[in-house]
Amino acid sequence: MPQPLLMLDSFAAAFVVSATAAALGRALGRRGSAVREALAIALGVCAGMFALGVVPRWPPREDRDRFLLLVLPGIALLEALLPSLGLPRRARLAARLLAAAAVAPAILHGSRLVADLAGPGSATWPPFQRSMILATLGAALFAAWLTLAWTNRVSGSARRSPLALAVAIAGASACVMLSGYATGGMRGLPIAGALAGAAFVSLRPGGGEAGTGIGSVALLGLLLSGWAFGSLKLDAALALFLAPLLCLIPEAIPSGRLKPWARTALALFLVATATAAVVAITAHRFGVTVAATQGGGPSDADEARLASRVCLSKRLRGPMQDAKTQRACSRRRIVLIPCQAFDAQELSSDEDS
Amino acid sequence: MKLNRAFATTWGLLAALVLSTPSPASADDYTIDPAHTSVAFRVNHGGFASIYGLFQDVSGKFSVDAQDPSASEFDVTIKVDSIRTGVDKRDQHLKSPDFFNAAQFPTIRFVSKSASKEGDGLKVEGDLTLHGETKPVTLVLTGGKVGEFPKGTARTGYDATATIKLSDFGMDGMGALGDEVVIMIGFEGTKS
Repeated sequence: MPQPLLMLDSFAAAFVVSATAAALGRALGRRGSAVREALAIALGVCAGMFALGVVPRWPPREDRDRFLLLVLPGIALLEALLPSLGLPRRARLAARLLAAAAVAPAILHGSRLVADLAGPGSATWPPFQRSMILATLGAALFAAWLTLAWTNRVSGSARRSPLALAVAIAGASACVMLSGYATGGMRGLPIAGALAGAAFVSLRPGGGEAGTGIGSVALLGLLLSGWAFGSLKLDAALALFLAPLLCLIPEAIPSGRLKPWARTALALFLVATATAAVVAITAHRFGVTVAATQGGGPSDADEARLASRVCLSKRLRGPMQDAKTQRACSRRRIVLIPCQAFDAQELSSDEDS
Repeated sequence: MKLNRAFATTWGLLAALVLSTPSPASADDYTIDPAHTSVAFRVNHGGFASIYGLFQDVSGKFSVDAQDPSASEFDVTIKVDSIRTGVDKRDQHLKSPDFFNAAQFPTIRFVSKSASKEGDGLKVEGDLTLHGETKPVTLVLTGGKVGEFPKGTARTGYDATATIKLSDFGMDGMGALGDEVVIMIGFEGTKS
């Protein structure tokens, strides 16, 4: 079972190691900053996973192993090397587009969504639908990635997008855990910690590119795993994927009205609020399901019985259809129904009990 | 002439004898009858007590050679999605990658590699593929009664119990469950 203290430890370990590595890297000068940022995040993730006791298995047969052994290292390597290769902008964009397109197939590889595990043609998604869905996922990731990278540039804050992504990843982590995939969800926390740690000490305007790339990919990977392999709802996954984009909103406010730090604070507040709302909804859904499973939730029979008690009270104490009763009934999900629906025998037995 | 007739008669009698001798029994092929097959398991929860569950979708085929038990073969497939423990939320969680990862590994399969006589039943050694890992497992099958049920449908059946370790199959990611799982199997097959 997920252990909150252990998860907090892993987040803290990732944050501290990543921040320390980024600070040391900054002391070395501006040259190769992308490499240092990617390395700081990678070290932070490793430290967090170690604290969490996560050891990915080789060969990576499951989504979470492919996520940690292929997807994250791949994207960290790309983000570290791209700026230092001196490639033209179009080539860099093409490389990122290819990387974005590869994330969903890597996560879903071998699953019954895309593979014919029960004989030819048994995959959940037929070939054309599969291509369309994977292409859409790749395009969505690429668009979000570019938007967040652009936000970082125009805002002049190296922290905004990575921190927004860290917040969304932490929320996604909680939601995936609440959706019946605890071991997958908890792996998001070290990533969030590492992103936040590296961003925390990042001061260079326009920096944070590596964090934005790694964070965007990690967020999609986490949500896709939760949806495809756990039972994360599509609406929650979509909302969490879009939440970091809210950090763009403060840029719509005319410059001069808000200082840069206030814009970033507002951006993070918006992202955190949206993320918290999705986490709260997912937690509520989880609570309702667990209550129903454990018999604590009101079944139809319970509701009818409670409703009969209200009717009984009405009969004994006079009119109870006031606003207070209705509010109380609404809170307890009791449906008020006419007393005539119950025969005298049921009412008397209920009264006895 | 008399000698020829006697020779022919002798060979004729020998041939008749050979043809009338029952040939060695060949293996009987059976298809698993899902209506009379149960795969149950028991696993400890957090050191408190055992949880019991069932797999409701079991299929496969087997052949039993009464004369030569080593020629017997078993191939059984279980659908992970058919797991039932009586709690829907728990069943859903068991299907997730925290345990079985039904989306990636939708079936559990046992394929025998060798069989031998063991008491009144059979000792079957084979490969169990679970959660994408294949490990050797030995089953001791008891029973083996052959009969007709309903009338006209030849069938046989066996019971078996085995203990496996979740860690052997890479299913030890969640600490809530004990490592050892006791699997109780009862299966019948109708003659193909």
